[in-house]
Parts: sequence; C-alpha cells; structure tokens
Amino acid sequence: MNDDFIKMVEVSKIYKDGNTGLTAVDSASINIPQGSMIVITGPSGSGKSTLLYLIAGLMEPTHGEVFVNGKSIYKLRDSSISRLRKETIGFVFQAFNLIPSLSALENIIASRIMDQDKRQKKAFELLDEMGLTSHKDHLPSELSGGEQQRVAIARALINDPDIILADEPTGNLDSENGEIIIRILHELNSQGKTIIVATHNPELFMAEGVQKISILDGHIEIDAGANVYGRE
Amino acid sequence: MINESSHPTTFNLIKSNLRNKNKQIHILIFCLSICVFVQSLLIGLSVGIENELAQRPEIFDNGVNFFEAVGGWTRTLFGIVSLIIVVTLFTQILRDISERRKDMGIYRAIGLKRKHFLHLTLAEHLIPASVSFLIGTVLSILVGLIMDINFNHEIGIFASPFSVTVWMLSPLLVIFISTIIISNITFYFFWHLPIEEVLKYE
Repeated sequence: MNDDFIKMVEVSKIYKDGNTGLTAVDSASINIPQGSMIVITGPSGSGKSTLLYLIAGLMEPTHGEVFVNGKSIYKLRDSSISRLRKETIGFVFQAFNLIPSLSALENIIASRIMDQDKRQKKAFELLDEMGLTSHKDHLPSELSGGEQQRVAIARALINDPDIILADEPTGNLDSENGEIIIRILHELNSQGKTIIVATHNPELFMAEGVQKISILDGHIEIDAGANVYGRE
Repeated sequence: MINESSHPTTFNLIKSNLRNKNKQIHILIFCLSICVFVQSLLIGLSVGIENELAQRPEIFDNGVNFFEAVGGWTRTLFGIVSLIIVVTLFTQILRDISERRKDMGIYRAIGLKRKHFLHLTLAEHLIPASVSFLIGTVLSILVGLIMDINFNHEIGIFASPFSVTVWMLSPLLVIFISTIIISNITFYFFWHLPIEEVLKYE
C-alpha cells in the first residue's frame, strides 16, 4: 500500500478576476493513501471542485506541486498528462458531461477513440454492471439523470483507473439514483480503487473506513483519526 | 444481450458525431454551394472562351499566345474564388470548433490527445465536403448541359470531358487542403484553453 499515492505539497490555486485574485485553495498539503475513500466536504465555493480538478490534472496550481504515484503531474508533458487522465484517473462530473451526439456505449468508449476494439468487451461488461444494457444505443438526451451518471461512471472506469474522482456525483440525482451511485462507488473502493468524492452531503457517503476532509475558504481541515494526513 | 457486432469503431464515432444534423446540413449546403459555384464558373468560362474564339478566329492568326492569356485570366479568377472559399471555410470551422469547446474539454478531461480530436474534427468536415463535392459535380454537369457545352470542340483547355473533370477537382482540392490547414490553426488555439473553463462553458 502506497501511503503517498496522491500527494499535494503547498498547493494553492488563485483565480484571477481582473486585477484581484480569488484564492480557491490555500497552501493545501495532504497525502492520500492508495485504496482509501475520501469525502471532501464544504459549502458552495469553498474550493472542493478546485481541489478535485487539481488532483485530476485538469487545472494547473498557482503554487505548489501535485504528485500522483510519485510523479509531479504538472511537470509532465501534455501527452503524458493526457495518458495519466486516461489510464490512472477516472473523473465523474456533477453535470455528467457526456458527449451529446454519442450513444451511451460510444460515450463509455470515447477515450479509446483510436483503439476501441481493445476495450469493447470491457464496455459491454460495464454497461451490464450499470444496468444499462438495454440503453446502449440511447443518446444522453434519452437517458434519465441517474442513467447518465451511471454512463459517466462507466466511462470513468473503462480504462480500469486506480483513482476515481467524483465531483458532486449525486448532486443532480433523486435519492434513489443517488443511492445507486453511492453503492457503486463503495463497491469500487472495496475493489481497491482510491475514491475521492466532493460533496455537500458527506453523511450520504460515510461508512466504515471512509475519511472526511473539510474545506472552507480554501483551507483544508482533516478529521482527527483519519489516515489521510496533512502538514502544517 | 448486447449485439457485439454493433461495437463502436472510429468510423462509427465520426458518424455519431455527425448526428448533429443542423450543423452538418449547414456545412453540407455551404460546401455544395461552393462546389456548384466554382464549377459552374469554370464551365461558364469555357463557354465564354469558345464564343470569343468563334467570333475572333484571328486570335490564332495574330500569333497571340492564347493559352497564356487564358491561363492568366483563369488563374486570377480561380485565386479569387479560392480566397473566398478559404475565408468562408475559416469562419465556418472557427464557429464549429468554438461551438464544440465543451466537447473538446470533455475529450481532454477523459484523456484524449490533441491529435485524436483533430482527426475526428477533420473527418467530420471532410466527409460532408466530399459528399457535397459529388453532388456539386453532378449539378454543375447538369448546368453545363443546360449551357450546351460542346465537349467535342477541338480547342483550348476545355476540349474534353476529362479536362473539365480536372478543373472540377480543383475546388475539392482547395476545400481539402484549406480544411486541414484551417482546422489545425483553429484547433491549436482552442485546445490550449483551460479545461475547467471549457467545462463550465455552456
């Protein structure tokens, strides 16, 4: 087990707004062990999503470094960071972010645009696991919110990544569909995947072994007793 | 049970992306109109030259370098038309790619490289361009027939159906090369926009 699987060192993100700057994440230093499940919680605008984007290699920090499996990801070349996003990290967005012109099956396999054949069997398995077999040819507009989110999760899993990052994955869903998504994320964690969820409702995700990080105005607080650790 | 024969391929993905009918019909109509315009212009030009020669047979007798004169004129005309094509294509591709900023952000977020999305975009433009070229060719041949072109005429660069066909290929070439160059330039600009900004864009 790698205790420093995800490591942030003094990471800050400041959004520029004209001449002023808005600090979304302020000198965050955390280490997340492999295989853990972390819930990041905080009010709207507290920096939860920014923290996920920073870990996912989707947003370069203003200061500091982010390491994933020992690699400083923002020092990688564009093609290497693309490979990291494709093979090591699966991202689930609150707004699903499916390609509207592609069917459910095509969305799942979209990241393998040049070599879909190698992953088609996996895509069919994921459709089956997500209970979407009969919806494989449906466009996102023909699917319910819960179904779209399950397609988004399947898409995140197509390359068998070690890390799943989910930004408010139940935010746009009713309670029934929300519970399905939470169950799927717990199952993935029990299979050894590192899961990090940003949510307003941490209680929905809390279970044995799940650890909580709170963020307020860009400052991180780690719950006492958590395996995740930060640095002062 | 899933029918595995319907598994996605790159071609199917391109085909699926072409599902956005409004956008693709727009591209199709645009390319078609350019093809018909250019080809009709060239065929019309050939008729004009034939008429000119029929009325002024002394052109040859006076030792005027006919092919050079006609070549210069048509090259200038073709240059202007090509410029119109390139400028209009640029506007079209810029608009199309900017409309797909969010898709681009999603593809980047799931790990696609720039070249992958570029191939997809190119194919999406080149497929309608080719289809419209074929339709355009048929339509402009009809225009030519209506204008009663005599393919058996023994003078000039439009002396045979083959030479007309060569001229007809020119717009296709312009569309293909322009699409590839313009897509690359436009795409390079949009690809480097921050992903999180793109994903928020509606």
